[in-house]
Amino acid sequence: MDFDLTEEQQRLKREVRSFLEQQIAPVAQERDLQGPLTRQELVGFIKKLIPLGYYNGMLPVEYGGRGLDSTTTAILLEELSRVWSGLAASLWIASSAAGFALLTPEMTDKYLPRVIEGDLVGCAGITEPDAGSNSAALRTTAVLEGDRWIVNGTKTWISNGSIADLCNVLAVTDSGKGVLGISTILVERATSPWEHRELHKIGWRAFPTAELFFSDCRVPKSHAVSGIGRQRETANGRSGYQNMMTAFESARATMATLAVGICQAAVDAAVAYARQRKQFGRPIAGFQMVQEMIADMIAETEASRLLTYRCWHLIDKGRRARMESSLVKAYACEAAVRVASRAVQIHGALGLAESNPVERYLRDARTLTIPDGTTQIQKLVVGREVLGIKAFE
Amino acid sequence: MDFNFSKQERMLQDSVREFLKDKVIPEAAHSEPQGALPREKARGLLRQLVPFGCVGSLVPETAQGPGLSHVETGIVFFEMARAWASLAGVAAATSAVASALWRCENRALAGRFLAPLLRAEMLGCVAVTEAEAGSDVSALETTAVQEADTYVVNGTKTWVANGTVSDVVLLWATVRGPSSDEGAVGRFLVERNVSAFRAVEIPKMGLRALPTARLVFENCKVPAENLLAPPAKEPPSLQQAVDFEHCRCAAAATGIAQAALETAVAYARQRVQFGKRIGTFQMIQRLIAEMAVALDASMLLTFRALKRLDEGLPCRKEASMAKAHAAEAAVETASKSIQIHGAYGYSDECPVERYYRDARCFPIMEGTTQIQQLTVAEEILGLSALY
Repeated sequence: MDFDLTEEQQRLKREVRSFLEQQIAPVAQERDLQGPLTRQELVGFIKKLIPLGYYNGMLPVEYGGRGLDSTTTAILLEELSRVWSGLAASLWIASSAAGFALLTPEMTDKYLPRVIEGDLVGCAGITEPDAGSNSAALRTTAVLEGDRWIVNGTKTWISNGSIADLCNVLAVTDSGKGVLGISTILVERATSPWEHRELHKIGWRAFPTAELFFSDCRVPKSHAVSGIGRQRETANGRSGYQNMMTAFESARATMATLAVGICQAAVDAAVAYARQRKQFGRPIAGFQMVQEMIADMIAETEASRLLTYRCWHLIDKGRRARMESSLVKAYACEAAVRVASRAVQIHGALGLAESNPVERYLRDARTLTIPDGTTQIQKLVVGREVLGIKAFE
Repeated sequence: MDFNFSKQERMLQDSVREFLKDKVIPEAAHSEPQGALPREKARGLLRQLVPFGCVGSLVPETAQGPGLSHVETGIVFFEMARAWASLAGVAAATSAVASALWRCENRALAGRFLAPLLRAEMLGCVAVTEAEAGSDVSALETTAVQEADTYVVNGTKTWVANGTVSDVVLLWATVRGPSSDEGAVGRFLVERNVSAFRAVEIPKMGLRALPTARLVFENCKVPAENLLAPPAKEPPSLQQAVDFEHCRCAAAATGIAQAALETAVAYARQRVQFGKRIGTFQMIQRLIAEMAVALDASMLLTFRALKRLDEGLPCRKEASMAKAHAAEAAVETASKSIQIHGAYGYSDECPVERYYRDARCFPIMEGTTQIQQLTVAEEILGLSALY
């Protein structure tokens, strides 16, 4: 077992960290407090970060990307999350557009050029007001009328929903067939508009989140690109269902990766502060209680990182990571809350000041344990995988 | 041992809760995005709370105060924080000044300012903390240099609750002058419209409506007659007063935890997923049970300490235990409440995210959890791990 990153990965990590410290870190706290990024701002950041491999780097070289593997993409996201997690999350979800561009030749023609430019913001429309943990209970419908799908329904807690160009909407296409009757319809806002209502969150404030309203939204027939029930081939050679399931695994591992970034930011801030802050005539880093907190923070950060990259290792090898991805999503996101909270505590009142990024680390961490499957759901997935018995209901 | 409130205590609790439900709770959510309460709004709200004994609670009726017991004071702060923790903070800061004046040697000073504070015509704040004096207040850098019958104050105080909206500041400074010992600390009542200073708002993660400030004193002239007592090496802060502030903090933290649990219970009973109310799921039940135990422990520890204060018993250990536990329990309980609410819980459409941000301030203010734990251990072991 080799726990080290390759020389190439280590070099990339150093280079990216340096760039982000100079270019992104100085604006993060102040901008994040102001609320959701506009589309223009996000695209501006995407274009700035594409040269480092962000957003479209994972596309195959023949599609204009760099053929980066998942582990390398994760390293990039972890570093960005360390500096500005809200931006990292928004960029991650936006980059789903790169995947959309590979779904069919038509999508490739329509969307790949914009993906190369960094000018296409994607999102996924799954959750509804009555379909949260139980996403299968969704009620949005897509009815085929001639050569158009007519989409009706309300989606909520949609990441990037207010600024996205494309939304991959999960809808009932064949009612009465349960999961087999659910498909995804790729809706392009410019030609098939939806209304939205911005939602405001405790953390990840720069990361736009919205309620989406589809009212007789007309979408070309060919945009039903990855049916769950249908075994449709896609440009990457796998069925729609296979793509959806492994997409969940990647999403969970990515959430864990973002969590690790926040953990590391919290550790770095706490270590730096404890060494220079003096009370009772000495640096507080010299107090046993503070040392214990730091040690606990590092243990949880390292454990989260190792579990996370073990997942990416499996995914890069083309293996399933059903249990491992749910395990780490639950563990790392909960750990981030504890680690960030200790960082706040070590900073004393300064840890509560809006001028200090440490307070953001906690609010961002607190937002991680719910989306992409709550901690509780993830533990039930682990339970199912390991025990062979489902306890969801 | 009777763990219940008396009939009189329950009546007080019910009447405060009823008032807060109609007049304060709706205001809390509405005000949150706007940040610190402006002075007039803070004053207006506090004045409405005066009849319930929320301002200067411990000041006896003989001094025109509400004359509440320590337990009763805990009850009103619990209820205020359950509704709006920031408002409890506004009341606490003003009350702390009122209490200090009631007890101080300078009766003329008390005569001038106690009544307006008790009526919430004036707001007060306590300025002790400095950038280099947080957990360790042994060497305050703010100086008050005696010049005839005036003291000239220079220095910066920080994390002063009510700092931007106060009419009077209870200021701690190192005193220099012919009539003071080396290193003596003086407590001054600084009147804003007599002795000019700058107040700069410090926006915070939680307790956002509680105005909190950095106070900058530049050659600020304070009359010598505004000293609460002659400056002394050991500031004459009764251990009892410190213990009480720990208990008041604990009571407020417990109020937040109460609100968080109630909201979670209501949601778990009505939210349906997978065809069932989520309150029927074991994981949710585990969270609720842990929240309930932590909350009850906070209540018991807090009111056990307050009761000891009412009985005139020493309570340094008990007060620190209560503060340490209740503050941490409030954060944990609010966090679990967010989780139970799902995405709704992390959005501003639900008060629970505010409970979490408000709660997070408590393990730090009024003596960090770590300092409280060191106090408890010192009381038990007779050994200090700090010096």
